Amino acid sequence: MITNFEHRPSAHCETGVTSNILNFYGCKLSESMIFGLGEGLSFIYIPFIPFKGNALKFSFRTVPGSVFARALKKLGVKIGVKRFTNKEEAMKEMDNLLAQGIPVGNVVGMYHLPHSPYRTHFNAHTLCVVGKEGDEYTISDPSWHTTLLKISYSDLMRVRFPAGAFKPNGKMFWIKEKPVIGDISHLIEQSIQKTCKKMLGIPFVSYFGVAGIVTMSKRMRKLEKRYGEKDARVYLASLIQAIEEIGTGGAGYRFMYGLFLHEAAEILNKPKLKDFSIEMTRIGDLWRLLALECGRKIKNRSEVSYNDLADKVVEIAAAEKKFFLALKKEKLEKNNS
Amino acid sequence: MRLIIKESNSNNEGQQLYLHYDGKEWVEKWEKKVIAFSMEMENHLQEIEPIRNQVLAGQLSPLAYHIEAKIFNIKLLSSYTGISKRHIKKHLIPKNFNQLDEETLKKYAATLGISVEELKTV
Repeated sequence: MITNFEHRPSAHCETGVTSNILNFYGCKLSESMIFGLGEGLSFIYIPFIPFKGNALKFSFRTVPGSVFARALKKLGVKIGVKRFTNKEEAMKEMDNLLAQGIPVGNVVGMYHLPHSPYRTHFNAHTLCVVGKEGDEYTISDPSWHTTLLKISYSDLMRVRFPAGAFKPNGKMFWIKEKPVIGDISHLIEQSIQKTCKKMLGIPFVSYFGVAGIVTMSKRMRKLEKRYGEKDARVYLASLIQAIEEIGTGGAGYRFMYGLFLHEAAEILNKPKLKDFSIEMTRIGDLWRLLALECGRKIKNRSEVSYNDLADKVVEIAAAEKKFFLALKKEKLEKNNS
Repeated sequence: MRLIIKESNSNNEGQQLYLHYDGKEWVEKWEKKVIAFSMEMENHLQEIEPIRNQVLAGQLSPLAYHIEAKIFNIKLLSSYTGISKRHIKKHLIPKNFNQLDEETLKKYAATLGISVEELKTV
């Protein structure tokens, strides 16, 4: 049992676990800083997936697992990552690490998790196993609970090996050596540049970044004609879910990126970044207002047409494009001087 | 700011502990439990009422109802239990479902999170 593990509640599972594990080794990096360094902010209009029921069509972040991997690679922390085919072996290897006093991060499925309120087959939830006492494990699930929780051996084995899309196969990760983190200012500049590049899009591909948001608005205009009245509403509901429920639960990670820019302004000593932070928060509010309007549309409480909603999406796309173009230029000027 | 739910306590029935961020620090508050999710589940159960009627009429087996009620599908159930999709489709017919042995029923029940008795009824 690791006694000095500090459980800090967080808004998002993956960044929260990463930040907590780093904190255990004495590196004080906040959750939003990890999110920024890992280039987590994105928009993807997932192509080629037929829309059926509440299939995931939008993503406001990069692929699960990439934030952790990118951030720790940049910081120069040595990590171990392992997947398994044998269930008992997976538990045994984790026990060995826990006996050495190393907290182990786990990627688990959400459906069979005992404390999970959701019944969705989402297989990329992250939590951290902190200790073992007899047949019970102590876990820290920072995005849902403010205290440490207990989970039985069989339950943990079950959630580590779920079926369905993106099987984690008992994926676990841990830090191999005690990391030493020095100056991170150049890393921040680099990650802001890369995020700008990602959001402004790859030429001729209309599914990622700002171009993806524009594509979404175009699809929204023909929604009723294409799917019928009922399914069009389910489509809007899945958009609300993507903005308000998945991950941080608010404005599709825009608030978290705003917080990152605010912290970056203090570390880099560039007060102009604080203005960008405020602007990002404003864009986050626009996303939340869109979700609110969609909610009214679903419940039949307003007479907004799909065209009006699409116009709002275009407005957001324009705001984000302006924001990231300005942010990109801002960094270039500073590099030259 | 975002609310974080803490475990419900036996002292406060029907309530949950939330954390509010008031700009400086986290403040704890007891509030009424969020029932959005249970409402969604009720909605879902109402939607699949036709399947229940089909089971009662003897056109489908109880397994067909429980797959829908627990938000599973045949592909997922197949990869959890190791029973092939073709066999699961067979088990949706009442005649075949009634002939199933105890072991197969246990596999289905464990994956769907219900007891064998519950699996046999709707």
